[in-house]
Amino acid sequence: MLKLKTAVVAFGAAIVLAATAGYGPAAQAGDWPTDKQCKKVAKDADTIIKGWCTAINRKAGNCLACHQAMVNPWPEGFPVGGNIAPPLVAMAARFPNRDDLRAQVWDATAKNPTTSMPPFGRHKLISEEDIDNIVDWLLSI
Amino acid sequence: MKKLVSLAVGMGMAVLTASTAQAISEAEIKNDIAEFQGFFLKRFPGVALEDYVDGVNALPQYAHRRANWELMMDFPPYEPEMEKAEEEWSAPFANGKGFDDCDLAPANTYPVYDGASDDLRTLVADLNACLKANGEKPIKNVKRGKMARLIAHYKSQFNDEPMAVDFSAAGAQAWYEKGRQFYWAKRGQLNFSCADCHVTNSGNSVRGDVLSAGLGHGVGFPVYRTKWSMSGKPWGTTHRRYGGCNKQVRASPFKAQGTEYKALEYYEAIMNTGVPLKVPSQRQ
Repeated sequence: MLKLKTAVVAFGAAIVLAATAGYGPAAQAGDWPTDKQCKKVAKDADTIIKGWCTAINRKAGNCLACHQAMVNPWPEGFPVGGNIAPPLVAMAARFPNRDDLRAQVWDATAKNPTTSMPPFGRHKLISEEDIDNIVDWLLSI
Repeated sequence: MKKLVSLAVGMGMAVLTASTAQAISEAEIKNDIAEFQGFFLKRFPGVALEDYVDGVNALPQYAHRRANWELMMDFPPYEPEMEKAEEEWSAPFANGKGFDDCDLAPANTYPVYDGASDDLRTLVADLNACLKANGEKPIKNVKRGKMARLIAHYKSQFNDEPMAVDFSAAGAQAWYEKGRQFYWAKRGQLNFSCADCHVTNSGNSVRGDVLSAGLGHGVGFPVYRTKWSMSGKPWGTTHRRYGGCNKQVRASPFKAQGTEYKALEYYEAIMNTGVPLKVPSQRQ
């Protein structure tokens, strides 16, 4: 029993460590801001937080309308994403080439004309800088 | 699904050659109906064709919220409004005639193709034509309010009748093609087609909301909608809803009772062949 407990504690510690070490500058543990908090913090934040804020804003990227995203820890009480599109996980592994990921956000119809994903760059839904920030955020999760 | 996707791609190519394209044949339309309905029956096993009258409430993905809607149906919020609708329907015209004297088609057969004018007759247009013919002022707002209540009253008398819209005339098939094109073409800044959400992603969640199935769209209309009741205008026709949908994908809405929405209503009505009417309906 004792062994199990230590194992659990160690496992927990490992998760916390992974959370703080793995997410780079954005991983100020528990600091993924919500929509409301973004209004205050996004201006002075790094590009990863800026990207997250654009991604969750319903009037900007609104990525969560269709995608679930894995950020740790998930902001308390914040609604999870939709299930129309694949969850945003392991993005750096799935897109080893940053330009490919950026191109996908800019105009997903280039690779798949029938995709439901709006062409964020081509239709000027968000700015080029916003797209860069979103890519920074995506590659951090 | 693959077939549907290739249909969408085919539609795209059809646009390129639209000027030379032949109208769609009756047999082809029948095929479309079977394919469209078959897609949903396969996607949502256990949901029968007639269940689609309840819109999103019929989908298993919406089950956790269905109880809420059922509770609301114990005392439907539109009931007092339906009494008002009956009064409005029964009020005689100045010439002594009334709406009962209007030359209307059975509600489950609208829109009706009129060969003489090569136009689609919607119920809304027929009521306004009837008012005009009897020296009354046509109803200006064709999206909500009195017009919606009048058609709710008329259509409710045909409840449980399966949709049976005629598309045997060549002119009707051209209208159908227009509607199908509208349904499957991407539009707006967000680049969504009707089908992107209501076929391909039906039953999936946009954040907390479940996307309804395209099958059954319109058989409950006009609807009494909670969202619309917030602004004191709870009633809406299909064309009001189409306008809202277009705005949501950031496209300019078309005119209610205009060519585009009439064609779209026609396409949806034909896809609903065999689905019973249930008017009015409450929607979120």
